[in-house]
Amino acid sequence: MIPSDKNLVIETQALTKTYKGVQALSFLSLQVPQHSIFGFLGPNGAGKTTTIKLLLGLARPTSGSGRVFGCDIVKESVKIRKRVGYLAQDPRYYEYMTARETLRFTANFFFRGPRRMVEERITETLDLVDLSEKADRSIKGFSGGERQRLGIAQAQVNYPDLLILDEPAASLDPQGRHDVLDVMERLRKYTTIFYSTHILDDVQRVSDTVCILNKGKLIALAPIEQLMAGSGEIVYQLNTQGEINQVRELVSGMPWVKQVKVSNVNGHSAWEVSITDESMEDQLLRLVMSDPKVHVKDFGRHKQDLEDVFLNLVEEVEHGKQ
Amino acid sequence: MASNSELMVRGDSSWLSGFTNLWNKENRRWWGTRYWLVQLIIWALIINGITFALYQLPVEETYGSDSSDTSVTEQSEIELMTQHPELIGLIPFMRLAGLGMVIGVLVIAQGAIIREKQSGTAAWVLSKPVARSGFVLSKLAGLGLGIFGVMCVLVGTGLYTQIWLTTGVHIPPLRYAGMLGLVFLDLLFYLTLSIMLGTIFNSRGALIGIPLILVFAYMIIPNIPSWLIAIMPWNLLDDLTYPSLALSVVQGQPIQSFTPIIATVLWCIGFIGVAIWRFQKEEF
Repeated sequence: MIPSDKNLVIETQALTKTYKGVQALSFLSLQVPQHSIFGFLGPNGAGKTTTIKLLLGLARPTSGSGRVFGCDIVKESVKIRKRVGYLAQDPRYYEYMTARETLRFTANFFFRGPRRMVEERITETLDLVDLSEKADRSIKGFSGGERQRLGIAQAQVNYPDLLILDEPAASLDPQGRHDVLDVMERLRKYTTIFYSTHILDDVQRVSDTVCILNKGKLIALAPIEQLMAGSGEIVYQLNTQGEINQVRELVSGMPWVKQVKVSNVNGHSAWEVSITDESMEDQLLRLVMSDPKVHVKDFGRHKQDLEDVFLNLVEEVEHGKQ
Repeated sequence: MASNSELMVRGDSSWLSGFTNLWNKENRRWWGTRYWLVQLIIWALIINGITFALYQLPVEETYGSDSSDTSVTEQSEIELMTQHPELIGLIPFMRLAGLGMVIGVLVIAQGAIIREKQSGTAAWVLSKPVARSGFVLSKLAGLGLGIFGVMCVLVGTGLYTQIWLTTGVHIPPLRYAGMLGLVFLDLLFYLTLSIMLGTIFNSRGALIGIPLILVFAYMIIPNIPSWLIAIMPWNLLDDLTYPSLALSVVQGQPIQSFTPIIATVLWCIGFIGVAIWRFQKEEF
């Protein structure tokens, strides 16, 4: 369930952006609830970065409107940015500055003092991203992972009410990705996190609400459990050995069985049985095992992952077009 | 985690939002590093070096022709220089300011906006609570202060001291400051032009090329109309329709026309206005 207006941090209505005749974003209407980790999912070129830039006032919408904290994204952009922390996809900083100077420079956009407390905040933020030891080195020599962590630090230094992260883990190795997701999980109790990614595993791990975008169009927006539940279809997978024709006919004839698909994998029969009633799980297994010519090697409910959901949705949209 | 309420949060969301922090950064780049010293050494070597060389030569050799017959104009110039030896240092300074220092300003300012647009740092800065007008004005204020401090105040003071020590002439400080003010106004014209072009173009070629055409226009275009001279900054430092206005100021003579001064101020305001307007439309 998407919450009421009061609890919305971001709200867009038919937000559209066209670059030289090419529609990068098409009539996007989305709502981001407060204190959520909102995964903004889509392949490269889906319009994720364009949306973020529109929300931050770095680009202007061609049509449509958007509000962040109830403020208009075109007219009240500076006001919005006072409460936002942003990490760009390919963050760039002044290379001659150290990490500490970068954070001090960033913090000075938000705070006038007291100096001691601002310095404490900087130290605290450096600790959060494990950059304390490299705080006074020029960022020119920073690795990709260190730059990304500095990116999170500069986005977080003002304790924003909304943290916008554009592909925060895309350029990182598995350890770096793990670290970034850890930081996000640590921050979730303080802020709303809106982050874009094309890495489905990350979304599944940390997000509570997901929006899927493809070719500039919204194709799904729902809490992750709802999305993972998909159409509500109950599918069981079996792996059997032996002659299956007779038992297959028997299973297919059951009134609670919607569909039976069997394929041959390395001499085994891989079944996908779609049923209408979850309580028939045991019945299904007993039915298959009742045939002495069939040996059941494996049995379980098929768990749909986000990749299945994503691919199904994209496929549906593509077919819908044709 | 200490909350934001314990810190003094900046409250303004005005058209100058972010200006102070950005201006401080620009100032640190000039005055917090050796950058100002490098600039000072370059301009001191050029200005004081040339002035030193000119004072070593006899006036006839510098302002007379090679032939034994000197013209009436040359004769009167030689007389003027002999009566007012401070002009031997001041006139070349104004010529150098109108050409060499202008080129220096263009080189210093050419990357101010473009480099930030191309490197992505502008997009980063503008993702913070920074008004675009604040961004442009911080560039103007930072570079303007650096150029004024080094090229006008420090180099100007050096030249003043050199002329005094060499000739014993004590130029009235207010008149000298007025002359430096006009030198700065001329440099400001090219600085604001460069900032404006930086918001319009993404190529450094246009940024250097267009101002250079303006620098040399009155030298290369024959019969340039006097109205054009009146509305451009050329007459501030060079003798054109009127004698150099800066020279008139330093000599305590009445200024023959205020139009070039007013026009240059209006150009500067116009250039910055266009720069802000254009930068508001920039997408990152």
